[in-house]
Amino acid sequence: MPEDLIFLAVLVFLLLLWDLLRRRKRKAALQRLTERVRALEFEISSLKTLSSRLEALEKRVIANQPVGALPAMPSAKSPTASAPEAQVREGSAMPFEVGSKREEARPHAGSVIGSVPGTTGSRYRILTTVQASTVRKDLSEPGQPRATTIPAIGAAPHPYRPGIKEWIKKAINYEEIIGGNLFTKLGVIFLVFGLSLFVATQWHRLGPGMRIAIGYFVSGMMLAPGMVFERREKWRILARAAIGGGWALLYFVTYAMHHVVSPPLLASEVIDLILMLVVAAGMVLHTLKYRSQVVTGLALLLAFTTVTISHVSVYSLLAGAVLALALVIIVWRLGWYELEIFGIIAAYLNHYLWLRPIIAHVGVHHAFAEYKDSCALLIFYWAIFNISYIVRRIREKREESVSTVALLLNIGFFLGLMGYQAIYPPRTFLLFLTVGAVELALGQLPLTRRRRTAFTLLTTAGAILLVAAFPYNFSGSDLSVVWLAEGEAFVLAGIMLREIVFRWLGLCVLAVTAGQMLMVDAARVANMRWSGGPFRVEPGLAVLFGFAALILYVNAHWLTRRWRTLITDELEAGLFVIVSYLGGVLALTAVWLASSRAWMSPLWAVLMVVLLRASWRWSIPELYVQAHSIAAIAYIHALSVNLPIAAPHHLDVLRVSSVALTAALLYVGSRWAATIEGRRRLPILYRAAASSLVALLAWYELRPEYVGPAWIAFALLLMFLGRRPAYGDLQAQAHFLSGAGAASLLFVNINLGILGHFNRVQALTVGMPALMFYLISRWVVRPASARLSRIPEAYSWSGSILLALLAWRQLEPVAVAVAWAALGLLLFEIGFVQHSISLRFQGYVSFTAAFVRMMFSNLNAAGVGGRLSPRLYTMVPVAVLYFYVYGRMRGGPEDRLWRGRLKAYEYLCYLAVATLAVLVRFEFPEVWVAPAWVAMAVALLFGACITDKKIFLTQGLLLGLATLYRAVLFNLYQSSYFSTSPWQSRPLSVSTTAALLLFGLLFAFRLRTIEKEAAPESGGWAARAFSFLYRRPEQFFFLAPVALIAMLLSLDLRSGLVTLAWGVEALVIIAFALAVGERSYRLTGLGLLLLCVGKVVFVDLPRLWGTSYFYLTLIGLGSSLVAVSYLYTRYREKLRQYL
Amino acid sequence: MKRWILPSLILVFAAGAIVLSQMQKADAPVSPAALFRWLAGVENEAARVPASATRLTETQEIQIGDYLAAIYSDIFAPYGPDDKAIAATVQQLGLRLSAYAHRKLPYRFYYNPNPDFINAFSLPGGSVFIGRGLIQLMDSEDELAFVLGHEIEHIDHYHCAERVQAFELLKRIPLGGLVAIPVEVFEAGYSKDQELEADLEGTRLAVAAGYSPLGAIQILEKLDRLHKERLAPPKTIRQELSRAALETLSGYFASHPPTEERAAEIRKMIFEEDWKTLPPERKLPAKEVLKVRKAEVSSSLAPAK
Repeated sequence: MPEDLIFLAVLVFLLLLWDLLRRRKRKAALQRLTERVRALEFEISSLKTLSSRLEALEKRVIANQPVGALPAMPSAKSPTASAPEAQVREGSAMPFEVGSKREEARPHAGSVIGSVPGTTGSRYRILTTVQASTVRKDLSEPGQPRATTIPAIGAAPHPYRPGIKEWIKKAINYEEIIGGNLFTKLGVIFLVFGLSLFVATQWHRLGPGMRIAIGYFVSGMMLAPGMVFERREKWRILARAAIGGGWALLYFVTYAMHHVVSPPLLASEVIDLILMLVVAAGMVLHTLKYRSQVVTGLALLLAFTTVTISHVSVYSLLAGAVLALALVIIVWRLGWYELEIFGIIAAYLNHYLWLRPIIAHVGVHHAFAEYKDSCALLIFYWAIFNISYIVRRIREKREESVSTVALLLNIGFFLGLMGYQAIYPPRTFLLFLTVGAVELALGQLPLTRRRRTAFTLLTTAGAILLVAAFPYNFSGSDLSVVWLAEGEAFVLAGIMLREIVFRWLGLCVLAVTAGQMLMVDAARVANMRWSGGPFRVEPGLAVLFGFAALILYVNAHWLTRRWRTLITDELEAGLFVIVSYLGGVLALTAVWLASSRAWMSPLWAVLMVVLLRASWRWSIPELYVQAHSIAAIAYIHALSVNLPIAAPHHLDVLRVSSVALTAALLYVGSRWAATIEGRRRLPILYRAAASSLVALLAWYELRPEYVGPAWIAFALLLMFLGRRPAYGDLQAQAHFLSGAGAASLLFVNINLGILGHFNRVQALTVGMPALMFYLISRWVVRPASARLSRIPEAYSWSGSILLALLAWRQLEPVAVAVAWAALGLLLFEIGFVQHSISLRFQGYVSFTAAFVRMMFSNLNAAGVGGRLSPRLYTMVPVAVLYFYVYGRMRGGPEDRLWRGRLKAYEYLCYLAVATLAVLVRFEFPEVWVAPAWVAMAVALLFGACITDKKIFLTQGLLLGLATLYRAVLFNLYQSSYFSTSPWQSRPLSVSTTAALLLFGLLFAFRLRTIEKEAAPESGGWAARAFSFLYRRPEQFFFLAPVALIAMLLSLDLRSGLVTLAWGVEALVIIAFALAVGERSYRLTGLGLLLLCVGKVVFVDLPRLWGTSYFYLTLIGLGSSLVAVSYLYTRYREKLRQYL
Repeated sequence: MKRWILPSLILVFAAGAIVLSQMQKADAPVSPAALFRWLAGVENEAARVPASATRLTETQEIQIGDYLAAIYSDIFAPYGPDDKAIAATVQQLGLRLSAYAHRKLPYRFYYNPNPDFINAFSLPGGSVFIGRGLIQLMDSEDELAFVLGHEIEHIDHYHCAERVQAFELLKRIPLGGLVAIPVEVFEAGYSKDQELEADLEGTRLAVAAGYSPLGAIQILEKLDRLHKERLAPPKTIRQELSRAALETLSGYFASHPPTEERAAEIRKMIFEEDWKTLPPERKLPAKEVLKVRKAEVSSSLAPAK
């Protein structure tokens, strides 16, 4: 009983809420309407004013008055127009022009009638097409008159903003509603309930007849005043409530005569039922008189409620059935479809409330006595509400919506309760099937097809029920097959009958089928595979999935193309697209079910190629997307499963075959991956994925030392293929692979074996990639970007570096420099022939590296006595090589090094000479270094003479200076105390040095610059001194040997003979100076003679006085002086010429 | 086609050089040693003339040397019963060698009985010190003659005196205060060029005194073996580069040149001097005395198995 009361309270609350919302909605609509009417009234008044103004204008035009003078006319009501008004007038001097200009500026301008405040109603108005906001803004400037704007005709009115007073008024309205309306209804409800309960339970002392009589009396007391007062407006609400309550009570009392009171006042149930029908009919007929849905609804609600709270047996529900029938008739007659919703809810809930204790008592799915009656009643409800839905006439869209809700509620409640009371669940299949078939059939009735919505709804409901029926009888693959067939049947029916609803339903069924297959069948296999269970191929399931995918694809793509004109609805087209995607998922899953782990990737790749080919052939965008997705999955699978399928660096046939096949298919797929507009990068991705698979496969399969070469070989292939513009991305891949390969070579291959020992694997795996790099540098397409334009050069540099490193690793330390120099020569020659500055620069770098290497390694290779020195046979070829390159470059390209400061060929010439000079320094005996250097210097002077290249002169002078330093500070002062062989003696080495320096005079005289070149202003003293020597090399090549001989004489002769020897030397010098006509030489001789005189006086006299050496010195020196004097006298004229 | 003949010939020439290098397997460590030696030689040559112009008098040199020798000999470990014989051998051999020295100075030879002292050094004025640790490495008098000759030549060629001059210049102390120079200044060795000069001249001195120059090679090889035990050969380019860089940074400042370089220089000199009739090897008289100790040292020098 309390549950019934709760139910009742809920029903009452819902009813009140519904009423409240309805009233509010109605009030809001009324308010909008009022505002609209106000706006229209205003517009009408404005139009009237405009009309009068136009009439005035016409009159003036007729009277030949200028139109432009019109705005300047003063207002009759305001002869002295204010300044703002004047401004407005000025602004409106040409109202139509202004208006047209502003309209151009405001594309959304509406028609606005503006007026100046104070002139409203006057004939001084401005008609323009300015947007309202614009007028407000323009005229709201300081000093400008404010313009009021009127909503444009046809435009939405301004939102109504209620004031405080209206709020108060609104609150009072609510008070009236609650007090005068709500309370009335509540009171009647309580009254009816109270009397019903009284009749049903209380007052046992009274007999049944008395109770029924009281019930009828009260009913009459409510109905009669209600009918009387209903005619008066003031009491209408209360009266209608009384009428509703009276009818409800009357109905209940009639019902109670047989069913409630004990013993029954009326023995015959049939008679009671007839009476109830009579009362119901009367109630309906009477309430229809007022055409108040509320009154009738209230009456019916109370009637239903009374049945609810008093049901005793299944027959009690007959009253409800009768009520439902009555309600359907009312709804049909008056179109109160909202009422039907409450009726449906009430009828079914009544039934549920009756059924629930029974089911609770016997248990779910157990038989009970009233089962058939209950079924009959439910079918009755379902039938009458269905009929009500079909036969009704819809006048508004809202009514159709309400009807839709009613239909859905009807079907939902019916199936719910039928399922709830079902004794044997499998019969649910038949129930659903039957109901679905009936609903579907109802949908196809001509009566139904008048209303599209009804047809759609009933067809859809029927189809849904037909679909929902099968899971009660089928499962697994059988269910999938049945659903597939059902869905396809709907689709085909939709195609054949040209009915979109069928197609929709078919597609939805197919989608549901796909979902079921994936969520149930595939999920089961996935659970088994991913939970560590045995990996089993499911061929049967795979065939089903494949078949389903095929069906979905056929629907999505063949049917849509075959009956293209049918598919016009965007949503339907979208549904076909979804079906296509589902087909893709099913196809993907079919492959997953059908193959082993290793072969999934290739098979998916095959599917991807097929889809791409199909999409390319028929331009189907969704197939592209599916193909790309499948390609991504295949790629990820290959990465995560196929590659790690066996240990790295270990040959595995399955891995090779599966990954290679996947990569190949990705390459093939890239052929058709770019046909969608704006997806030009997809083929690049495909090819990148394929290449990455190949590269990773190489890493997994090969030993580490072969990975780098394999990558570079692959890069070579990609570079070759990438020469075609369409496959330019392959070159980018080749760059990446080359980089990775080079890194691998540097970190792995270069460190193989022992330094300085030949290693065949290393030679092969580094040498071949290096050559490949050169080849790549020829094939690479030079990018347009300036930043990347040096990529080809980078490759050749990489090759050269690798070869150089290989030589470093493989060869003996002393041979490395030779190899580098030889490599440099090769690079230089190729660069020379091919006019490649990069290759030539690589050559220069190689030459430099060879030189540095010689300094750090070859110089330390002293060798073993008696054998050819490693220094000699390794450095001489390099020096010759440098000279050759120098000679080769003469007349060739003028490459410059060190930021353009040094010409490359000069640099190489310096390297050559430096190599030889250093070799001499370390290879020759210490004392013979200076003579050897001076011999080189003389040779360089000779070279300068015959080639006319001043660089040799520079080098000769530098070597000469080095020789002087060496001869003076080493040969003269650093000698052993122990007697050595004559070849090691100081006099021989120093005198040879001096002699060779003097021999150099032959060439120095030819090289001296006769013209006085200006000495460089800039530079220190050293630069200026060298510049002098550069211009006058004969000075150095004379003075240096003279000084050396003088010092040698002073060190190796006895003290007494030094002066004598110097005197003789001075004599020879002067004689030679006279012979060559060189004044500086003569001055040198004279200076030496003067030195001798001084030495005799200050040194020899104190030390050698009395010794024979002193006398000999005096004699010799005197003779020399005389001889010099003679020579001066003899060649006086000639000397004057020289002077 | 003709223009390819010359480069081809050069390449063939280079290839021949490479093949020859590979066959001969010449010992050529990658280091800046040769360049540093050259640089040190240039530096030494440049300093020679001013050094010879401002040289100490012999009296001053002897005075400083005697004072330092007295201090240093005081800190020697006490002689054992077998040390006297060794000291006598050292003194005897040293005097025999000093007779062939260029400068006539009062040469004195001191023996340090400390077995951990594997070194020899000389002081200005003619004092020469040698440690028991170094003698234990020797097998012949020729080796000892080389070591003592090397130290005598440091004195003979004014290396010790120049070190005093440099110290005087560095510390700006009057010559009279030079007696305060620590002995470590002389123990630390000399410049590369001076060391090589002392090697060559010391060998010449030993040969002049009738000893075999091979003694120099032998003792230097032993020292080289000791050195290499601490330094494994490079196996990769990276190792070789880092070692070369390390030697470039530290080598110039290191005093003694690598022992293998020194031995190579002496071999070269032997070849150049054409000492065809090498004197027979002389056994070191103190060998028996040192037998027990030598065995211990040899075992420590043996390569690990």
